[in-house]
Amino acid sequence: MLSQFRTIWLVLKHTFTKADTVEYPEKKPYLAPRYRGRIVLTREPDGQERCVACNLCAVACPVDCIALQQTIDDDGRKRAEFFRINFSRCILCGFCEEACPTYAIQLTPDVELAEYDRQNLVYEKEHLLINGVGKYPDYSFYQQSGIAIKDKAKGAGAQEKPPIDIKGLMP
Amino acid sequence: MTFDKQNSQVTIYIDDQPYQVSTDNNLLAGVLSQKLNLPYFCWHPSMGSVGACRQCAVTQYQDENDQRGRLVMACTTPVTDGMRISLKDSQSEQFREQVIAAMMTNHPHDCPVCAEGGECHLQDMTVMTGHTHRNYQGEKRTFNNQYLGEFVGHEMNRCITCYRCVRFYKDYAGGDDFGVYGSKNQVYFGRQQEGQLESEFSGNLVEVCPTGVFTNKLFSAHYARKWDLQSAPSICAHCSIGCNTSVGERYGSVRRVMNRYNQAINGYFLCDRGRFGIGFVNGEKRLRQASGIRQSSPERLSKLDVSKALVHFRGKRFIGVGSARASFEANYLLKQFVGNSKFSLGLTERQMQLASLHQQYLSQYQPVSIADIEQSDFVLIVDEDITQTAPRMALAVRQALRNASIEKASELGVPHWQDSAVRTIGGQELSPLYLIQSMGTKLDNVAEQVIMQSTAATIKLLNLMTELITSNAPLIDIHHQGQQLSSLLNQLVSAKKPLIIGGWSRQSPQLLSAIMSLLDVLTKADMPVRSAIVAQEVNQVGAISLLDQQSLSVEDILENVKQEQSSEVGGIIFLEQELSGVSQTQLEQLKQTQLAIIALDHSENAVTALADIVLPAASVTEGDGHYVNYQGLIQRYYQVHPNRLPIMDSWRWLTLLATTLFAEHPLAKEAQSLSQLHDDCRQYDAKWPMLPLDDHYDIARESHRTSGRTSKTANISVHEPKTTQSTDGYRFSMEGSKPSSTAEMPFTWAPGWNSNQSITQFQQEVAGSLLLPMTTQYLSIAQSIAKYCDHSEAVVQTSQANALQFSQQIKWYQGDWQAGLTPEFTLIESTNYIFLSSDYASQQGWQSGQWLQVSCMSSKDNAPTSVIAELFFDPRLSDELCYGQLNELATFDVKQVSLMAASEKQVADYKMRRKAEHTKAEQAQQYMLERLKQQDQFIPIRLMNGGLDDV
Repeated sequence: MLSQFRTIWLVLKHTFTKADTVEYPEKKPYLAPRYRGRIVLTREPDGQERCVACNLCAVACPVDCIALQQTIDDDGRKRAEFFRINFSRCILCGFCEEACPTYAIQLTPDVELAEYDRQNLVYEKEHLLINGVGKYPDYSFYQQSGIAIKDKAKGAGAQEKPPIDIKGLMP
Repeated sequence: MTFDKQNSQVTIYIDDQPYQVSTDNNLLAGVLSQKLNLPYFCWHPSMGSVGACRQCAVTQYQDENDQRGRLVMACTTPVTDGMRISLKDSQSEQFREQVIAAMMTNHPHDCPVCAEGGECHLQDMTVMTGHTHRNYQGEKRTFNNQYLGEFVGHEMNRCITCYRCVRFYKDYAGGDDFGVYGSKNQVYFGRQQEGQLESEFSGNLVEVCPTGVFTNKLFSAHYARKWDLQSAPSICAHCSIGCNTSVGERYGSVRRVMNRYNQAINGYFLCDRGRFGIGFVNGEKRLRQASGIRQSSPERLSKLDVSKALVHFRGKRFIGVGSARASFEANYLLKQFVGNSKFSLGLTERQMQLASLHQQYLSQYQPVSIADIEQSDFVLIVDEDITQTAPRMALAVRQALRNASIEKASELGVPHWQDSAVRTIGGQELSPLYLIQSMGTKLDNVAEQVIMQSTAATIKLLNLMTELITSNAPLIDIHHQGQQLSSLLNQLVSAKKPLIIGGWSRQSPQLLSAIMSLLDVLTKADMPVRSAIVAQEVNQVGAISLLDQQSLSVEDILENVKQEQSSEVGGIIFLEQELSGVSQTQLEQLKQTQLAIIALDHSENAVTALADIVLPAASVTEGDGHYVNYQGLIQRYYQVHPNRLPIMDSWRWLTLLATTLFAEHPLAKEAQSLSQLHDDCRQYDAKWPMLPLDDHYDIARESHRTSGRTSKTANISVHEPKTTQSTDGYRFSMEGSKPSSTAEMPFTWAPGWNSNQSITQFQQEVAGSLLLPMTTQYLSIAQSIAKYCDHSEAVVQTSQANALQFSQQIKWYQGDWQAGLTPEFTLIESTNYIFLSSDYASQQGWQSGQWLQVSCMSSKDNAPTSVIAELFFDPRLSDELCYGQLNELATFDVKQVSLMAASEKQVADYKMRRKAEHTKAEQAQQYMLERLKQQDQFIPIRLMNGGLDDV
C-alpha cells in the first residue's frame, strides 16, 4: 500500500523536473568531437589521399562491412581503387579507426545515418572522402615510411639517412 | 640434399619436459618438429643452417643442477641424448627480443604498403619474441632499389640481412646474376646491374625472404592480403612434374600462386613458370562466351540452346581429339563417347611412336620422384634441357650433385645441415653429372662432362653403351670419345643410386628407344638404376594411358576428313587442343571440310578460330579434376572460385553434349559433381583407375578472417547473397571444417605463423612428410599401342651445302602454350641468338655478336624461311652443329639451317619489330590490369555451382 503511494508521489514529482530528452531533430544534442558516428576518409595536409588501401580496417571490422581494392598509381602511391562501406551493417564500433596506420579512416560525430532505401547506405569512396585532415592535422604516412614516391626520394623521409652508395668502398 | 637417416630418436628436455627428437637434424629443427615456437630467420628447412641471424638462441644447461646455463644458437647445435634446454627462461627470451630490436632499428615503417604484410615472417617473429616497442630514435639506413625484371619487386630498406635470398639463389638454385655486396650496415642484396633475374627460380625469393624485400610484382599490381584470398589446393598446369600449388583468388579474379608443400614433389620451391604463369586465366585470349549456338535468352545460355544446336548431329559419329592439358576425366569421357577407333590426342605419327614407347616405359618402370632425385649419386641426362622443360626437376638434380660434398663432410663429422661448413669442405666437389646433349644448358657448369653432339650421334652413343654393357667389352679402342665414355660407364656401373633422365623434347622415338634399351640392360644386370622420362604437358601421362591400338594420329584424322563423304563421321570434337604440332596447310585442310567442328577450350587458338561451335571450358583454377604427372601419380586440383557461366568444366560440357549427341551411351547423363561422375564411371567401367572420391567434408576456402563479406557485393545489391553452394568438399566461405588431411589445406596458416613457413606446424618433422598426407594413387599403365618398331629414318641428309644441324632452345617461359598467354611472359627480353663453333665461324669470317640471317629448312611448310639471329660462340660445338633460340619458330621443329651474314637494314628492322612487340605486350598487360580492376566490383553471384542452368 505504502509503495503504491510512493510510486504515485515519484511520478508526480517527475512531472516538474526538467526533461532529459530533447526535441530532436529541432534541437540537436551535444556530441563530443570524438563521438563515433559516420566514417570518413581524410586527406594529408597537402591534399593527397591518406588511405593506402592496406586492408587493415577491413580485417578489423567485426561485421565485415568494408571492402576495398588496392591500386598503385603512376606517382608510386598506393590508393584504393574502390572503397566501400556498407553503413547498413556498420555498428560504428571504431575498430577501423584504431586499426588505420595512416589516420585515413576516422569516425565523425555525425550520427544521422537514416535512409528510406537501404541501398543508399552503401557509401563508395567518393562519398567517404572529405577535403580535410580530420583529427590529425600534421600526419603524412609517406613521410614516415621508407618507400619512395614521386615527390619523395629514398632517404628524404623523416628520420632517414641518405641512401647508401653501394659502389662505395668505405666500410 | 640427402643424408642417411639413422632415425635415431633421443630424449631431450625442453623446459624440463621430455621430448623425443631426431638426431638427424639440428636442435632448431628438433624444437620446431615438436610444434614449439622458436623464432628464426636464416635457417631454412631445405637450406640448412649458417647461424647468421642469431635469432634462435636458447639456453642450454649442463645438467639438472645447472641453474645458469649458457646461450647457444639452436640452428647450429646438434641434438644430443639427454640435453637440457630452455626456451622460456628470461635470459634467452631477452636475447631474442634484443636481436629483433636490433633488426628493427633500420626496418622501415611501411608494413601498410608492403605486399608481405599479413604473411610476414618478420612480423610473426617480432610478435613471438614480444618486441612491441621501438626504442631506437635515430635515423634509419636507406637503400635505392633495383629493377629485377617483371616478376620480382625489390625494396632493400626492409632487409634484415639474413642471407637467405643469396643462399637460395646462388647456392641452392645455381644462379649467378645475384649476390651480396658491401659490408657492415651497408650489406646489399641485388644484382651487379639492374635487369631481369635470369634464374628460372627467382620467384622463390618472394617466399624465401622472411620479410618484404622481394615481392611478387604481378601480385602487387593487383593486390589482396593473404587473409582475404580464397584459396584451394591446385596442381601446376605448366609441365609434367605436377607441383602442388595453392592458388589465391579475390573478387572473382585469380591473384597469385603459392607453393603448397609436398615432400615427394615440389618441397618448398616452385619454378617461375608455375608461379608467374597463372596470368593466362585472366588473359585477353580467354573464351568467356559460347559461339556458334543461338541463345534464346540474351542473358544466358541454357541447356536447351545447346541441345537445339546439336540435335541434327544426333546419330552421327564424331572424332574426338583429346589433349594432354585437359583433365583425365575429360579425356576419358571423350574416349568413351566417340569410341576407341575415333579417339585421338592430336599427336602426329612421330609423337604416337613416342607415346607408344612412353607407355612401354611406364609399364616397366616406376619413374623416380623429385625427392628421390635428390638422393642420386650419379645423374645422366640425355638430350633434354630439363632446366627449361621441367625446371623443378633440374633444381632437384642440383641438390643431388651436392651429395658428394655432404658425404665428404660427414666423414669429417660435419652434419649435413651445417650448410656453410659443408660447402667449405666440399669445395668444388660434386657428384657426377653427365650431359649428352645437342645444345648448351644451365646445368653445363656443374656437369662433370658435357658431350655435345647431334641427337643422331647421341642415339648411336647410347646404343654403343648398351652393347658395351651387355658384352663387357673394353671401349677405348672403339669410340673416338672412348676416354670420356669409359669414365661415364664406370661411374654409372659403380654408382649406388644412378639416375637417367630423358624426355620428349627432341621428339625422337629412336632416342627414347635407345634410352630404354640402356635401362633394360642395366636393369637386367641388376643395377639399381632409376630413371625419369619428362613428358611435355601436365596430363600427358594420363592422356597417353588412354591411347590404344585403334587411336588416331593427326595424319589419320586428316585422312578420315578427306574421305568424309564415304564415312559416317559427322564432326570432330576438340577437347582443349590447340594442335601445336600441325602445320598451316593441315589446318587449312581441316577448315575446308564440311564436318562440324566443336571446340572446347579456355583460350583462343588456331582450333577455336576454325571451329563451328566453340564452348568455353574452365581453366585449372575454376575447374575440378585430376592430372597425372610424369610418374603416373594421380593428383586432384580443386576449383578456386566459382566459374562464370557459360564457362564450365570440360567434363560437364562433354556430358551435356553427350545427352544430345550420344544419347544411347550409358555415361550420357549430366553429372552434378565430380564425385558423381566418378561413381558413374566406376559403375560403367570395371577398369576405372581411381579410388572413390571422398567429398563429404566442408572445408572453408577462405581464411577465418576474410574481410568484406557484407560489402563486396553491396554495390550490386545491399542484400547479401547466400554463399555459392559447391559440390566438391570445399566451401566458398570462411566457415567450414578442418581438412581431414593436411595435404588438403587450401592455404597454409597456423596460429602465430602467418607466412608459408607455418608448414612446419603441419609436418611430422621439419621437411618431412605432412601430418596427415593424402593417399598416393598411381595410374597403372599397360602397353596398349603395338610395340614401337625402329623405322630408322635415314639421318636427314644435308640438302644444301654449308647447312648445319640446328637444335632449338625453348625457354621456360615459352615451353607451355597456356603459360605463354600470360602477358608478362611476352615482356621478357628475348632476342634471337644462335651458337656456333668458333672454328666454323672464323672460317666464314664472322665475329661474336654479329647478326646472321638464318635460313631454315623445316619439315613444316609455314615456318618463316629466314630469320635474324645474333651470333655467339660455343667452343664445345662441332662444325656441323649449332643451337639457339629463334623466337619466330618456337614451336616448329627446324632441323637444319644455313647461315649468312645479315645486312644492317635487316637487323634494324628486326630490332624495331622487337621493340614494337614489346610495347604491344606492355599495353596488353596494362589493359588486362585495367579490366581486372573494373571487374572487381562486379562479382557474379551464383547460388549453385553446377551446370549451365544452375545460375
